[in-house]
Amino acid sequence: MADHLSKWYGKVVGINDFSVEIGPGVTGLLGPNGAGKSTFIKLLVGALRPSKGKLEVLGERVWGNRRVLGRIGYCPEHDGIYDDLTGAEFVAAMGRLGGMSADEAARRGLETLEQLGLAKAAGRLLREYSKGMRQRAKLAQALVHDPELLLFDEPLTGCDPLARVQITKMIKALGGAGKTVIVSSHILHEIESMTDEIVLLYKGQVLAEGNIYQIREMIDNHPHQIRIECDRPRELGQRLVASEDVRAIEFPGEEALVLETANPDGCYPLIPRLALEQGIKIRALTSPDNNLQAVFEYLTRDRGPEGVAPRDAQGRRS
Amino acid sequence: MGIRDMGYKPYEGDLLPHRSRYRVLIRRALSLAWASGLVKTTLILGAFPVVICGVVMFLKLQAIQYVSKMAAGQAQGLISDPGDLVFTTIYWCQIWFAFVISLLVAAPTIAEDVRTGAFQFYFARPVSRNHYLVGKVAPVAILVAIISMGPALALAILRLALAGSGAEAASNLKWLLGTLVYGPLYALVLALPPVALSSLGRRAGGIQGLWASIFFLSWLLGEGVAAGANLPYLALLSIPTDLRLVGQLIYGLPPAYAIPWVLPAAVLLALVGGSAYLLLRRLGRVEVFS
Amino acid sequence: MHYGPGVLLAAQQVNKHFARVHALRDVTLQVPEGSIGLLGPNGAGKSTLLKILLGLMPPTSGAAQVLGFDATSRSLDLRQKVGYMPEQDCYVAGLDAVEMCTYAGELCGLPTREARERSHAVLAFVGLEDKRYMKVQTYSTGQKQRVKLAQALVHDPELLLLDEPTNGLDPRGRDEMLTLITELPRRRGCSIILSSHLLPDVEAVCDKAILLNEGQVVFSGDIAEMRGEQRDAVEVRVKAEPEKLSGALEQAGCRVSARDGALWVHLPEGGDADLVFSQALEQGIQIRHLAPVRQTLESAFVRLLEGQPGGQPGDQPGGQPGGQAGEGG
Repeated sequence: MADHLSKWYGKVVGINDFSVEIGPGVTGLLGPNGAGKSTFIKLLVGALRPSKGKLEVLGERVWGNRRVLGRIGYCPEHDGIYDDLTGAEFVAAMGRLGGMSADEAARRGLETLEQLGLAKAAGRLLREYSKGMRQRAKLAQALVHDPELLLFDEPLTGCDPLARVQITKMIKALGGAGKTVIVSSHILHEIESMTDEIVLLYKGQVLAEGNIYQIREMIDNHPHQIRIECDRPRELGQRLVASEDVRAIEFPGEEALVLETANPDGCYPLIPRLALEQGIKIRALTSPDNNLQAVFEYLTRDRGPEGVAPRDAQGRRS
Repeated sequence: MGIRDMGYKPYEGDLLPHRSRYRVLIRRALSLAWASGLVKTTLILGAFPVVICGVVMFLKLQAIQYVSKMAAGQAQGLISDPGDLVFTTIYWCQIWFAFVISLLVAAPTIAEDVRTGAFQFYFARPVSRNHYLVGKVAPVAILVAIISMGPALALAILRLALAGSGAEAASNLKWLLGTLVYGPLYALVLALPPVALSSLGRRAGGIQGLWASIFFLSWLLGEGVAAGANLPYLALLSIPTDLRLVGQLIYGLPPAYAIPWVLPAAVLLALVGGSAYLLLRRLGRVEVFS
Repeated sequence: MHYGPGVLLAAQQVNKHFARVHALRDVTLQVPEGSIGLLGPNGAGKSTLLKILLGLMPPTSGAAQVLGFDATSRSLDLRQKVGYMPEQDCYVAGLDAVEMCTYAGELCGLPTREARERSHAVLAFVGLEDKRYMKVQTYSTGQKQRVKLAQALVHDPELLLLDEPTNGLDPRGRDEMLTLITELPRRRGCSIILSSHLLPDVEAVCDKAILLNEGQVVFSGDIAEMRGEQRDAVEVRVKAEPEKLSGALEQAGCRVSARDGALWVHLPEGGDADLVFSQALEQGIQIRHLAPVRQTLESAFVRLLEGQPGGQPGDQPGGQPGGQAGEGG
């Protein structure tokens, strides 16, 4: 929980008047470069001390507090330099740093490595690991002491799709088990696949926090978009235009129409009714900008080019 | 007319043949080298000794003329012909500058490329291994030749210009011809081995240290121990000494050590050949992509 | 062997052995021009294949042709027409962006003046106009990525090889990079091979894919084919009371299963989305999303690599038996 938190590096502001509360479950932490994400993370793991304001992690102040650090698991973005250890040694060493006994650390170490699919490679030197394997070893060391708060900074870098699926499942499971998991990433669809709750940082402040879809609904100047794929879009469009709820209609292709509305509750029942009445076959009904990518774009584009259509769930612009 | 398309356009121009790559690589390497302050300083400072030697040569010739007028016939051999200043210059004066150039430009070159991922830059293009290697060695050789052969040639020409008669000129032609043979060998010896060394690692500083050690320690070992313990063959270990002996051979000067001339020549050839081999082998195995 | 125009690359029985590893096994491909994703787990042999295709490494056996050039014997000519954007750092120390791109162009045979012109144009295209006179080693990750793209484009290649082009970029940077990459085939008509672990990126840019695993080609063809779309099943999300809708649909003859907050409705013979809509209207339920069931590239990837036969999205592993003749990869 952070309350009016600020951190300055000399004259340069890291984060400014920052207030946020993060509870159990998986929360995504996102923002453009320079938004203050790494500053926030470093404050959370006690690597930096706040310049002003209050920061409490698991109910306690974290700077210089070794006990609480033992309840935090951190998987950083950058590579450590422990090339000369084997996987098992590395994870066990991290466990001991977190306050476990040597035996327990070794045992838990092997367990976590197995969880991450590194059981066979546990005896090999870290130097010989591929990028994806190193990533998983870093994740293992964050888990070994069974912490309540987990911080993952770009957890899926270098991982191939199979590993991604596996690790995403694991992160969701951890959140479901009641741990507080914070995942910071630039790759929005990764975060989307893990959680609906986000904290969006921008220019050193919290720009948005909460459920992605609720945030979407709060964005006024980009009214809700509904995309309808059907065989006679213009006919359907003609009928829809008559409704007051419909603010604008576009025809991005021969067989699709996109309408904008400030009142989705009014439009959604209307569309199938009109289509059925006219015998128009609807193939698909979707909301192309009801996703994290769109939310991010709308919130961070400083009065940028209007009319740039956001990417839909497949990543294609309409 | 109308609105111009500012975006990406295809290229419809000419393409130069593959052998132009040599020129491109060498030119770029030379301009990068020149951009370095240290290299510039070395090259500029390296021009001074030759001026001094030129003056000494002139004065010596004047002195010889004077002496031979004063003591006709008896002064023969009293003052040595200053033609040997050519060798003195190219070896004793310029070797320091040449070494610095090889240290600054040759020793780090491939190691830097490995560090910055430049291999992917070069080899994703129509650049062959030979292009690349020549593009690494040739610039160094050119710079070393400029700093060593240049002054030597200048002095040799000066000697010829100052020759009083046709016969004197003819007997002093050897300085010029010798330089033309010695210079390239000198340049290769100072260019190939450090470039070969630089293919062995990633850290430029480490390779530079290695080259400096090899060069100077071998010199110390060779000359120091050989002279002290009277084991002339030990001098073969020292690269600079081998260079000196071969130079003395080419210019027809008395050798510093009583060793058959084939041996230092062989050592140098082995050095150059071995370096070339090492380079070809190392480059065959270098990872271009991850 | 003669391959006509329109064939981007072809490989016949390419094998590659390293000391103890059989990196590529009998790789046979014929890929038309277009935008192609190169996929596979780590260690599948993707980079080995790329090296062989560029002629940097000869195959132990077999042959490969790219853009009509034999990869081994005409490698220099081939690399003339290919641009490569590597994953790691790639720059020449001491040069700024303009010099580096000019150098890149010169190394491809462009005369210096033309190379410099192209260099400026290409740097403008990737959005580095403001910083082009600064040394590349001082650039941020995002800027370095853009320079890498620029140096790959300077000589106007017919084939662009991109290795994790969005690595290290923030969401806006990723978006811009993907926009640039999708724009290129449109403007220039060049082909793209995109190697990435980020499957949504591949979906956004490419329409075909090659999937490698342990040195073998598991799949080569259209991405749509790989995913498989089922005509007779739709995914439905509603605003509230999904059970009411699923009950009504089942009564109407559909088979409904719930997954991840959505309903997967298998329509009966001759039924279509209208059935779902009319049922929803009757029940007073607001449908917020309805689309034909389609796998993501990610799940297709996982499925293909686990060797499960056929792609019935309605099947849970070890769950309900499928009864549909769906189109699976």
